[in-house]
Amino acid sequence: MNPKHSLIPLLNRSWSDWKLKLVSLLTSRSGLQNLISAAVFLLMLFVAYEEFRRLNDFYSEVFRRAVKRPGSLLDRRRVSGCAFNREIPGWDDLLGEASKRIPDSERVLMLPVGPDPPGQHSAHCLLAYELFPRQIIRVYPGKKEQLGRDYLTSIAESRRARYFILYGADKNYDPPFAHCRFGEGLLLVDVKNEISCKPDVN
Amino acid sequence: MLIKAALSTIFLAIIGRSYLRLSLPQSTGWPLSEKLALSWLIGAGVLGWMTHVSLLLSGRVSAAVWLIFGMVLVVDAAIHYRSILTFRPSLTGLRKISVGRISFAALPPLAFLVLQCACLLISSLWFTQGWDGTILWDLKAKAIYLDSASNPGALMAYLNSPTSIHSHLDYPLLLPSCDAWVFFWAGTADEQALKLIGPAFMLSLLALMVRSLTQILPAAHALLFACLLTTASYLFNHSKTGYADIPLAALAGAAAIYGADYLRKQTSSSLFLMALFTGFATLVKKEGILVAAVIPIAMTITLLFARKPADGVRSLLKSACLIAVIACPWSLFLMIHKIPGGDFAPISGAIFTANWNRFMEVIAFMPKLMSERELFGWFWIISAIVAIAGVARWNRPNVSFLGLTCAGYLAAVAAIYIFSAWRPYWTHVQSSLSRLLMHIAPVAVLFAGHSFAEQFFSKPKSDLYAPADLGHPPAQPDKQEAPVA
Repeated sequence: MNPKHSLIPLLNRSWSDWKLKLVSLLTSRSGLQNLISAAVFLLMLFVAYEEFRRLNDFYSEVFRRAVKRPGSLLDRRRVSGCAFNREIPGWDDLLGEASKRIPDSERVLMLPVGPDPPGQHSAHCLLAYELFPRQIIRVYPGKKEQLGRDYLTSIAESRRARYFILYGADKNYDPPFAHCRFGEGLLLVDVKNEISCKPDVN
Repeated sequence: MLIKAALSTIFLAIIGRSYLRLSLPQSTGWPLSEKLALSWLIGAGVLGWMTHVSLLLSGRVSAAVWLIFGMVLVVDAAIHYRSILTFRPSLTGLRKISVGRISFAALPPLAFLVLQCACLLISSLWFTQGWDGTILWDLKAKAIYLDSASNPGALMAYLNSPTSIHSHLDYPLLLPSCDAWVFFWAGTADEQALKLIGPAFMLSLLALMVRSLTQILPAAHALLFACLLTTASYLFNHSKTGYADIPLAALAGAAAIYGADYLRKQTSSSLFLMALFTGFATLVKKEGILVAAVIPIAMTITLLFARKPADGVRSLLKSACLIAVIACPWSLFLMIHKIPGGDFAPISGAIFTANWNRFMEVIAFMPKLMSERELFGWFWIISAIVAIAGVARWNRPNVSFLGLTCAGYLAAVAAIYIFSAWRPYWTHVQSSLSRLLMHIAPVAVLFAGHSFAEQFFSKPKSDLYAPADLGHPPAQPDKQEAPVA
């Protein structure tokens, strides 16, 4: 039997080869570079995998919706960037009427009624965008302020505005000027008393 | 409406392609992904610039601006009608995408990147524009749209309205111009039509980044660096909204990509694109001025040390001229019409002396914010580790340029809070710093990538490019143009 082909010298030789490779990997410049390169590659692969794992449910939801119910991707199209859902009854009517009645150059005062009605910031943001170029100015009434004729007239005069949008008003609240009511707590008021609404709106 | 919006977005990119081809004829031979990304960014930038010029000269943005912007198609078609008829440029670009040459190691990051991009596009449909997206940017877009259509003078009235000061009247109009373009073609100012604008900027940035990094890294590594950017959830989620931070990050990233490219290859087209995108950054947000200050300075410092001082001065002058031409119309408009801005006090020595300690406080807060897992995941930590692992290569011109840009921008961001007019100023820091950090995130990835990639230069090019190449040629100067002297 040729000693060159025997098992023990073969193993011995391959172990020596591996030893040399290992030493050169750890000591030579290119070997170290390869190690760093592999480590960085694995590290970033791990980060990508972690992100994939974290978003797994999100991916499933996205693709399930896209494949099974593509229409549902547009479900939230009624939600404005202001985080305001326009599905609340009356809003479309208010925006339509206000766009129709109020001239572009007019100022409109938005007045939250009652102590901090929910969603007032979002409502102002939506009104500012949707009713542009009309200027929507937010007014903060004092806590003890009565929203009577004198108060509304004075702030309308001081801001040189004619229309109010009252937000969050009690359903029993009856403004002292001509007005239109849109859904619950949403009123368009004209301090010149010239506004008139259809019976189904008012 | 979404179809109209998508078509108008594509149309904007087609017009941008014409501007690219006319300004850089050699770009016809570039890879398709790079051309698409550049077309979108250049189209958006030129449209924004034209809006500002029109506003400065005539006080409004008439529909003629859209027409003049699109006229370039006719000019381009007249000059390049032969190549358009034969579709030669497109085929050249397509030929460069050879899927068969992607290595096995590149498949997982490629799959992840495709997954992220697909998710971004689909999920952007049901994400809203976000609060700032609507009240700051979409409102300006609506003003431009109405000004050019049914209500001339609406934009000027809005910009001069003291009641609208909360919507940052002094912010420039590049993003609102793109939005108004979509409104114009959709025929209505519905914020739902703007869902694809943010993703378009993000995808352009990713395409340019992959293209740039595959020139210096094996494809698997290059794709992983692009993946790393998408793991910064705060950044990636913002691309589904209408915030201007993503366009600014995309333009800053593109400027850094071509700046580093210029230092490696010395092609005049790279310097031109760097200056162009730096200039466009000033038209996106006020913070773009920081980008426009930091990038040319970083480039000049790098060139002063790496090459002859004359090179540095020449590149600075060229960049400064182009940036000034782009930025001037809006700055002049603000000066002439005295448009107020509310966030910062005027720069003065007294304020600086009184508030200089804010700089150190903000700098000290940055690492804490960067390491917040909910905001940026592992992004900043990994970028820092990889960049530090390549510290021995920071003396290379392209690496030092990117490092200087990162460090300079972070220092500039910390410095601006010295002049914050908010009381207390820390609320200003808390509400805006995380977004400001996003702007420089693409440059940080590039810095890490270039620090890491320089080690591959010692290897034979065949080792580097053959197995893992995405089909791009190895890094070398463009054949069509001579290196800058």
